[in-house]
Amino acid sequence: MSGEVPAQKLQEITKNVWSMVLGFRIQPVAFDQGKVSAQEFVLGKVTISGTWQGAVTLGCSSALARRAAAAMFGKAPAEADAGEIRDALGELTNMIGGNFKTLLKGDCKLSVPNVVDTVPFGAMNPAPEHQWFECEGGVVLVNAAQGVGR
Amino acid sequence: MKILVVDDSKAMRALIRRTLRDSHYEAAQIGEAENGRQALDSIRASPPDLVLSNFNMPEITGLELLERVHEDGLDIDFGFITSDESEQNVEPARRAGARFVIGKPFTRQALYRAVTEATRAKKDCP
Repeated sequence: MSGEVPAQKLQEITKNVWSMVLGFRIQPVAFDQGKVSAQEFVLGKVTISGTWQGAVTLGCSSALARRAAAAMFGKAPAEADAGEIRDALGELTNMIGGNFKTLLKGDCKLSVPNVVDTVPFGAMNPAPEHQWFECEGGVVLVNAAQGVGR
Repeated sequence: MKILVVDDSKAMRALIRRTLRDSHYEAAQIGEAENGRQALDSIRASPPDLVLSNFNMPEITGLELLERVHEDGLDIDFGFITSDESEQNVEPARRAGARFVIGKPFTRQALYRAVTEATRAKKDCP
């Protein structure tokens, strides 16, 4: 994965961020194409530059992203607009990327998050290293990839 | 008490505001700024007692904001709330006079403790 930080650490960070910020139960699962192929995703990415160069990506199925945004804004899911959903996913990505960065050796710089929404699974091309989670009936994926830019 | 929350994420600003409200700061006057430039304008117009700022923001970082406030000669307490608690961030923040640096995600207790200790320290100053 990162070449420096074990995959287990990224999994722990992801679980911690999701449970502490959102209060959602999140469980690692094996990749199941049947469960995700018809879904659309919101994808957040932060890049890290310096002694470690790469990107941390967080993806979330669209309905779950809406629920996550609603939890962060303290409103009902139906009231969360597209901008709020992108903002919430960006902040969750920033937290996971920032927590990941603290485990790296040497000087590194974290970018601000970049978020794209309504990405069909077919356009995502996830790598085998991606970690998958089930959460509140939705799907979460995370990855830290060295040598990947914005 | 007047607190200014500075973060480029609207969701995080909402979360901090709600956490403060739930942590015995319901009577505090809480303002928001979405970037360092907006924060600087707000601070100059009406200085708060405490600034709670993100570190990593576009244009002006949280640390640059703190330095500019000092350049203005304003005596305002500063605390950082950041996803990146590496020494690379924490050490310059402490040197620049930040009262505290707490990590995201944070607990309600951690935010309450940090804000309360920062404001108490100021009251205790002669």
